[in-house]
Amino acid sequence: MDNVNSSYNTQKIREQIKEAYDQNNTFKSVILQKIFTDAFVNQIEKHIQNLSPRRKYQADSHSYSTTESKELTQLLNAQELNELLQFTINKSIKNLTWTYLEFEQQDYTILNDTTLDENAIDIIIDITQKWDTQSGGNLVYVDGVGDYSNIPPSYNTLIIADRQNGNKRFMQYVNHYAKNNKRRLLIATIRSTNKN
Amino acid sequence: MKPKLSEWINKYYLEESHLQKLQKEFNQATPFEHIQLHDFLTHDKAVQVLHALVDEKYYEKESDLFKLMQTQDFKSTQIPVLQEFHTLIQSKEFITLMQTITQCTLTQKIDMHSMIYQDTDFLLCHDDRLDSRKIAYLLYFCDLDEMDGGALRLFATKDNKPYRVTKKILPSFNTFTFFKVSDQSFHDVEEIKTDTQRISIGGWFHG
Repeated sequence: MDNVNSSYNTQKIREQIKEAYDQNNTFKSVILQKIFTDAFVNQIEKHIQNLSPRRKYQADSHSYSTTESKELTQLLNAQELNELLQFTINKSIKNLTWTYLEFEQQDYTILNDTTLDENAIDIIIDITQKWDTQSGGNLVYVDGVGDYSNIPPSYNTLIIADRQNGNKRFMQYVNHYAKNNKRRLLIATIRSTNKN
Repeated sequence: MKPKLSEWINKYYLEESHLQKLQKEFNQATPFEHIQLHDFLTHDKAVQVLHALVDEKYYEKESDLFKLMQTQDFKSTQIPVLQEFHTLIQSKEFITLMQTITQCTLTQKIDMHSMIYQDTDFLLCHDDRLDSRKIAYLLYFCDLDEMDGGALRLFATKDNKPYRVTKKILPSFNTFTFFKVSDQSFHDVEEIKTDTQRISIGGWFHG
């Protein structure tokens, strides 16, 4: 089955993506909207419905729900996606482990979240639906010199961000305007020492 | 002209016989040493300070840990009432008062800002430890209800990590709240959830 949208599957587009990713030497990143086909997104959604995320809470560090699933990992280790990732970050990728995270009202992570691998490349799939922008919940990267990159929620979006060179990320506090809505992310990381 | 404690502070808090009781209350408080002193300033002075805050400039401050509005340190304020208040809190006499209640050795170095939290503003859990901070303080100039949010929440610790909230302090006009800064002093400010303003003056005493 096709999983990545065909518009991302041409050599020319892939080279443009790689160029955009490599553009900023101190913080390599690229955001690709409508990354997956509708059929593939629906498959992801079906898997997520069957998940039972567990709460992870440490008041001075993080608050969210999370889980892993072999079936979801298998689904997301799709050839087309991995090829696109490999080409963009110029690293061999075999089997990424995907983790599902949910942020509801009052959830967050902070910059010094010690559960986060340092010196890694984040591969993030945003599957947040219909987010009220005044709810907070922006994914924020901070580079080594304190400059912020705010990534607002966007359904079916792929984010590739390099957290080496002292770059860090946090999930902005989700406030009461979120009501029952949740930020939903699928995250895999590639450690800089990971030869895959 | 040097401000006098007796013109500013409720005389109850200046009487020696009461200070011993407050000292005990402070030191025995849980989850860590803290106290709330209600009707702390004389009413006239509290109202004067609140009115003076209207003319002070506030700046938006946002990070992973907080979102709020804050003034610059009052050591550089141009507003006379706030200058006087800053001088008072920094005075030898007031530091002595704080030392008596907290039994901490303090210098005349203080930090003082005003903060306003509005709808969706917050301050996440942390312990305030930095440099020579010894006592954190807040003087509230508002009254908030449960539904407003904005409570100062104090955490009990387990293995030196914040474990759970064991005390909630809702801001109440002219209440002076302070606590000892330590590796146990984890606290946060609840998100504001209504169209209200949580107004305070606060900062740290150093030692």
